[in-house]
Amino acid sequence: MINKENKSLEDFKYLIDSRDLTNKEKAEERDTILKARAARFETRSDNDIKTAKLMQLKFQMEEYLSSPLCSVELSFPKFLMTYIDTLYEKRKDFASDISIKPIVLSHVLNEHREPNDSFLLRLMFHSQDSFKDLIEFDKSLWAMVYYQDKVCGFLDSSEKLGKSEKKHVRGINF
Amino acid sequence: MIVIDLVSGLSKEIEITLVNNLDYKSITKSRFWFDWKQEKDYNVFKLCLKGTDDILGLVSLDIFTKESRIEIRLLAVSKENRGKAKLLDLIAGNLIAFACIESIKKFGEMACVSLVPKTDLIQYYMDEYGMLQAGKSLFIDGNELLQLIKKYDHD
Repeated sequence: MINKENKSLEDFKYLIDSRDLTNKEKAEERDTILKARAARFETRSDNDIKTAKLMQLKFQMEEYLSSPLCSVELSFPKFLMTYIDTLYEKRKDFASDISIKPIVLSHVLNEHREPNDSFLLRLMFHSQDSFKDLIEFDKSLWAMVYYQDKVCGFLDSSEKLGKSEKKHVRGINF
Repeated sequence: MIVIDLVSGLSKEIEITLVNNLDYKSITKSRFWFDWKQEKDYNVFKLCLKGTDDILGLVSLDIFTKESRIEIRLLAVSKENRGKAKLLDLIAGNLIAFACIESIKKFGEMACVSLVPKTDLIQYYMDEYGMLQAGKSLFIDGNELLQLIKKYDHD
């Protein structure tokens, strides 16, 4: 625990220690915080909730790209669905705003069709506008997530197909 | 995210990553005030200038999933960057904002970060970070949490 006598108040601005509570005090703190938050949540605006969801999406996309782990599940359609459902009540309205047919959007979301370059570019421009006044958002995140999915998919299938393909290759040993 | 070099006035990019077992050798009590080895069971993150491995700040987070809340258990800025003679500014703020980012990443619109401050510093944290008081704790959620992230999440 902090030795209070040895530090000036100024120094404590750079040191936080929340551990010095008994279990009973911790339980009381938890209840007090929950109560205070519940009262605040009732007055939260739809705009604040949308902003929080968009920020969550941005940080989750960044985390996905920085993770060394590959998932078999595609992340692009999942992130895209979150993006659209945060901003629109009906997905066809998003399709209209980026001038594509609703059926094309539905196919992309349900992994029956790959997004083409136009789709990706329009999505990037759309999200640039959506995030503009909220937080810094690198619109190329969409393309990076899409191609990260492709890389992960390729690596997964190469594990399975690797042996049958390797017999067609003659390497050079140095 | 950036810190400000108070000697040159220039901003410097930082990165915040998980502490690994080897890091604990360089995390001394004389530089980071607490015994950080006691925190190994929690999520401990280090703040470094981008591309360097000199640790400038540490934060230990406890995640309460059922409450959609992250508690800052422990936070320390390196000795040379504390107080009025500090060399780099914004280290503590970046670590608190990082806790907010982790919370929003996990809990979205329900995100919340709390800490237990020294009584004399309650007003400081409320003014500096937009925190609110609940019992002995301070917490940040809702619009204030979003604003704090916006303030610190830029290059």
